[in-house]
Amino acid sequence: MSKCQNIYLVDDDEDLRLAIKTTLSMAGYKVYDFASAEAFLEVVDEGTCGCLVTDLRLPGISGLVLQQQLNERHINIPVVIITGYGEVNDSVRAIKAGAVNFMEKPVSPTALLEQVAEALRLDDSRQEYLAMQARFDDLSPREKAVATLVVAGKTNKQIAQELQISYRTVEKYRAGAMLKLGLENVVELSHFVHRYVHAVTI
Amino acid sequence: MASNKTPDYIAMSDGELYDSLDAVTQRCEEERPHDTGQGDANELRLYQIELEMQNRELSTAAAVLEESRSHYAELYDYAPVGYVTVDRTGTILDINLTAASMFGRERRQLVGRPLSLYLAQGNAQELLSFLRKIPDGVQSDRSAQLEVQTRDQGYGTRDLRFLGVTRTLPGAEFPERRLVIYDITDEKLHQENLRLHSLIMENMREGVLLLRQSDRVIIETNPACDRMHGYAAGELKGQSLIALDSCKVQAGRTMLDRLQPLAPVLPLEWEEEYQRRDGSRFWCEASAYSFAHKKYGDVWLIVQRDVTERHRVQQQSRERQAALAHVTRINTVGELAASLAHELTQPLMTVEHVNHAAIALLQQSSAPPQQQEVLELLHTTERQLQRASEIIFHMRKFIRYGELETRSVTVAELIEASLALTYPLLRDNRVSIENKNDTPQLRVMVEPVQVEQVLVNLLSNSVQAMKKANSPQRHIDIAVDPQGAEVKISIRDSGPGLPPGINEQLFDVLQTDKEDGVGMGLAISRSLIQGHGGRLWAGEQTSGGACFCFTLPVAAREGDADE
Repeated sequence: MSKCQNIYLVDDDEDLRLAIKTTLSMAGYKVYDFASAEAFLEVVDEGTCGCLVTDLRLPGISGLVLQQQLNERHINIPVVIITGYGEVNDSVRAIKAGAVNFMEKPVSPTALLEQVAEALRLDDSRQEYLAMQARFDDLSPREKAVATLVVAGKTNKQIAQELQISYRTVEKYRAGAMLKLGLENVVELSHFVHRYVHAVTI
Repeated sequence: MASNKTPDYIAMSDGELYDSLDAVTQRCEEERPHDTGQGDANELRLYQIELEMQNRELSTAAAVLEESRSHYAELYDYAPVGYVTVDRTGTILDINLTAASMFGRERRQLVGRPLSLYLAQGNAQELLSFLRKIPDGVQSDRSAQLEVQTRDQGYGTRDLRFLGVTRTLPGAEFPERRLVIYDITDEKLHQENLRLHSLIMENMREGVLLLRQSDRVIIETNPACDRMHGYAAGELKGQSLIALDSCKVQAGRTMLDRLQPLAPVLPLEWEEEYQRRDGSRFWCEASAYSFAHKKYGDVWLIVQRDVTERHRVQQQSRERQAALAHVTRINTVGELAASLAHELTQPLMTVEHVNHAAIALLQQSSAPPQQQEVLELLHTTERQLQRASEIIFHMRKFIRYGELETRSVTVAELIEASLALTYPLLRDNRVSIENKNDTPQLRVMVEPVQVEQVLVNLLSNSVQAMKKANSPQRHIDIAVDPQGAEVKISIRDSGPGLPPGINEQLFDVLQTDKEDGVGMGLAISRSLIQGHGGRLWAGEQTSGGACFCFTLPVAAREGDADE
């Protein structure tokens, strides 16, 4: 069971929207439904967790444009796009833009539930990633630098030389970083940095 | 005192002469017993008077005779027929003025010359044998007739008929022939015209029928008429018009009905299908003219033409057009398929989800579901299934072959049906529609699906044009404008409009700028509208966008279609 059970549903067909909402609600999800992409864009922010299920064809902003705008705002919530008929070009674009899946109507309740579960799993790891990134961001610049150099295979002595600080100070930063990141050893640190840290300015 | 002078009797008037006669006679009586010697003189005077009187009577008789002679000469000369007297060789002995004018000559030029000189070349020999054959005495035997032609001397020829008798004058060595000449030029011309007319009647392809108005009996037909109706030549003559009317294929007005009005607009014209006795059918186009005939009174002259072939070609072209229209409709549905399929999956998916929820509700073991809750779900599915059937209904109606049958529908219905098909397309392309109609009850006699096809074609053209041009404002305005006997329907969009000067090319076959169109839409739309007696054209682009208009004849009254 994923940690975040929020599903944001965008569809302009009221009956269909309510039908999907029922399916999802009865499966235990918390569903927020919107008649248009614009309405959803008003409430969503970077901290929004869960997944988005949207129709491709919408009055006003279409599903594809919605996805683009979310990307532009760095809201990387998983997106499941539901579409009508034969819109292959659109589906390719949607997948390239990072959609979890592109489902052709009619989408059965089972298939939708599977996709939503998959999307929420993705969201879990995204949330975890975000949390880990946030932890790394909490480190002081010295701690970040030391941690990065440790992962790069440098000894404490080499790091002290490079950063022109004392050996003892390096040890202190290293211990501090390990503590703040909740890690036990160098192997774990190495994994963490490779997974969550892209670049560090030293 | 008696005078010895002899009076001038010649100078006396008739009365004076009688008085003188009386006086002289009396004197003779008185003087005779006395014998005065005057007796001889009196006798002489008496003779003188008597002679004068005799002389006067004679000259009177001569004058009467002369007058009589000139009377008969005039009768002879100016008789309405020609008289000519010839000898046995045909030399003209005498000729009256009428005959002379028939030959175009003066009498003096003719007398003493052979009659054959003035006849057409082939007739000379005939004349000679005719002269030989003429029997004695007056006769009326037709064998003693000869018809000849005058020689053409630059004034045309005349046709003459000779009738002859032979007379031998007392003391004459040979008998002479007296010929009566009738000028039969006009008669001949008349006969020739009659022959020509009957030739025309017999050989013309149109059937001609002459009908007596008083009792509607067929007086005369030509062979084409008999043949057309499947009768033997002359068989129709004398029959009643009912004989033909009873062979009509369709019910409705008979010829009798059509010829009934008191003051018809002439000529009356109609077309009707008939069945012959052998079962074959033909279409007949007829026109009737009324006129008064000397013998038959008022008659109808009915000229008929077999137009079966034309009807066959028309029918064929109607069928072909219907087939073509059908193919185009299927093509149109193909173009609309994406939006229509989407439109169908929508309710289907809704139903699936609602159903899924309903089942889950009913299977819940913990809390029994509220009846109201399930009912609501079922109402939703019902609504959605209706929505799906409606889409299928419109689509199926649209791609059905069509019955080629017209019926009375409101213009509003036609527009609604076409919007039902194009609504998804319009919505997907964010096109708003204004459908303004102040006359929702206005009816037209049409084959509905064909007009819907035209509307769908025009709407989808507008959508494609606005989509292609990426128009920011996408709007279509449908206007219904009754104009007397017809109604104008205009479709105006807010797209880029038509390039100037290509208006008429638009209606050419294979003209398209659509990627998936075959370019027949407008050409077929136009011919479909024309088939309904209307027009279709590219209208004024007052607001920049394209505008297409078409007209349809308005149905006379609501309910007329049931007639």
